Amino acid sequence: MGEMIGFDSAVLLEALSRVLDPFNILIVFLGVAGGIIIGIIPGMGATMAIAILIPFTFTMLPETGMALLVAVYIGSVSGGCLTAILIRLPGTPASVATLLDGFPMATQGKAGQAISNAVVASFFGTIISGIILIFSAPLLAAFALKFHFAEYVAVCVFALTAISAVSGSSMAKGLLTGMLGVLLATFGISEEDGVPRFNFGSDMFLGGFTFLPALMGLFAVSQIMVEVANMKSAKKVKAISIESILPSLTSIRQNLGNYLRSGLIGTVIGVIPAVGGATAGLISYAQAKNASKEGEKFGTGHIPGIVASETANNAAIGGALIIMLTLGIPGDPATAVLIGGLMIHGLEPGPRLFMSYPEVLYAIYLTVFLGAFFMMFVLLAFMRPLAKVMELPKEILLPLLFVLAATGVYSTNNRVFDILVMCGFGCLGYILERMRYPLAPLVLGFVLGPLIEGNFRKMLGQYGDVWPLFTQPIALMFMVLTLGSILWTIRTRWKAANASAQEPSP
Amino acid sequence: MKNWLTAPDRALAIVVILVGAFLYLETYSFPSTDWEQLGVAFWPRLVLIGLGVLALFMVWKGTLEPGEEVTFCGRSFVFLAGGLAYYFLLRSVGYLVLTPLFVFVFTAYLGSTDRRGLTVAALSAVLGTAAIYIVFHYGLLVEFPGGVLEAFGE
Repeated sequence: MGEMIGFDSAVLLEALSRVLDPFNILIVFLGVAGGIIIGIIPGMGATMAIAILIPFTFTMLPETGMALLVAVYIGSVSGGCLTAILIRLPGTPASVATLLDGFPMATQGKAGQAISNAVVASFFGTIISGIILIFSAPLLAAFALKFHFAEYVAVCVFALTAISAVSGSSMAKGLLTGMLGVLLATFGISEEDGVPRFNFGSDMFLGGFTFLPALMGLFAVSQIMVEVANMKSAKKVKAISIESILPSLTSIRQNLGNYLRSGLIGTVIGVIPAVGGATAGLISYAQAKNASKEGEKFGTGHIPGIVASETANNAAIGGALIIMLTLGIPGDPATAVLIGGLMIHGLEPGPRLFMSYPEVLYAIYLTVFLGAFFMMFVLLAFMRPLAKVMELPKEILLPLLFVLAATGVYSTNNRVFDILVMCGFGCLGYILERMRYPLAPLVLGFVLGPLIEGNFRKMLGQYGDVWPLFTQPIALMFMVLTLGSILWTIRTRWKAANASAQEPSP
Repeated sequence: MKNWLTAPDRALAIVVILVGAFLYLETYSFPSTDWEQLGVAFWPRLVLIGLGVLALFMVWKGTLEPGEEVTFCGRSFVFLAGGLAYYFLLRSVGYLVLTPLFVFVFTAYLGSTDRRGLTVAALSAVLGTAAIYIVFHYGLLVEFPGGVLEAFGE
């Protein structure tokens, strides 16, 4: 079975010819540039950028559509570094560790040097994770072909335990939003038996909450509402000026080990469901600091700090794509939206995708590399004008973004009701965000809930009980990992609580 | 009593319990699927019970993360109300009339209402709507609700 998923040079050549088609190159270039622009605007981000652009892919071939979305993903994650360095505000959460050294460098008059090193690091991060993606995804997909109902239930339950990793300081908050996501996914006609649930006698609810309006509400509308609230207190953004725009070869040479280590860390962390680039950047930053002989310089405007953060957050892209493409589990909220992009074209992520639509997969692989080159070119060549984007007035931007989001969700099914769903999820997302409840578990629950339910019920239908979860070797392995993950979380949180209790109160 | 209820996590937990109880009762109205070992209501009930237990824990705890006060901004909800109005009026008023109106009103609301602000809002409304309409209608062949303009067409 595994051979069916192996490397196929004929398909690669076919995908290469499609990716290098002038229209496709233009699409990838525009996607990267658009992603960078959205990534630069503080508060917007990869998830919002991808969600808003999904409707534009309807009329495209699946591989072209996915190329656009992946390009936007790369662009928006990379663009966030500009604001982190120039105004001490991460354009995307992924760049949060970049500002620790980026902004001090900018205040020392070395903004250009900081940005150019961040851009090169983003490039290396994307390329390293792209290479790992190409070699590991088919292997993981071949392994996933052995999955049956019990294995899928076990792997999804294991993925749900990742909620603990993205729950911030309160696990209960993460669990609550995660279960809320699972619950919201049960609305509408049940896929297993075709009968309606929670439709309250109305035809409008029969279809349930579809993916795109829900995600657009959670990540675009709620963010617009947050930005509307912040506009009152926000000062007019004025970026620090940029001197040089090219990185020095010496600093690239000195950081080769850093690129490699941070690239690997970022890719591995990207694979963990729902964790994402911000955590990858922070962990990689800490590792770079520990490994450095000049650890004390970190946080004062030290290039290796920027390199560690930016390499890792971009490498998380490849990691997130691995788990998304092979198992259909989102590595971060942005890949949850990418799943929506695939589904709109009738493609379901998972091992079957590798056999049925290899050209789409190869196109995604190649776009990662092409996108990385365009990202570096656009950011280095247009660094100064792009820095002006962050000065765009929000009063013009926010109403237009809302209209664009509403138009996008309407155009999915020509259904006005989807705009109401988008507003409802936007309100929910805003309230949860203000109360500091994480949204990533909600998306994870929304995606994994139907997978767990469907496979659990099929497993019971086939075996009559839950024992396959503990008797099938792969399922058992994931159940043991789940138990280990839960115990590990309890232990680390208990230790953290003890440590804070022992701290002397001020 | 007032303080007990105003702990934000506790207030949210009470909302979750009330909505959860309503949805749990609603599961009894699901059509029966006798042919299955687990009915169609099994999974939602399991999730609702889990949510209920978690919400009870939050009621007991009150505040999960002591820290800065939770605040909501009225302007955000005004914007959301505008979004809801957009949804309710879209069919009757039509996309090409309602969209620039929405953009104009909210650009002016979030920015300034002096002459310059209103000019910027008007330009943004017209050019923004035109750009989005051209891309979606002519590029992606999306049909939008005609609303009042349909009457003119007829």
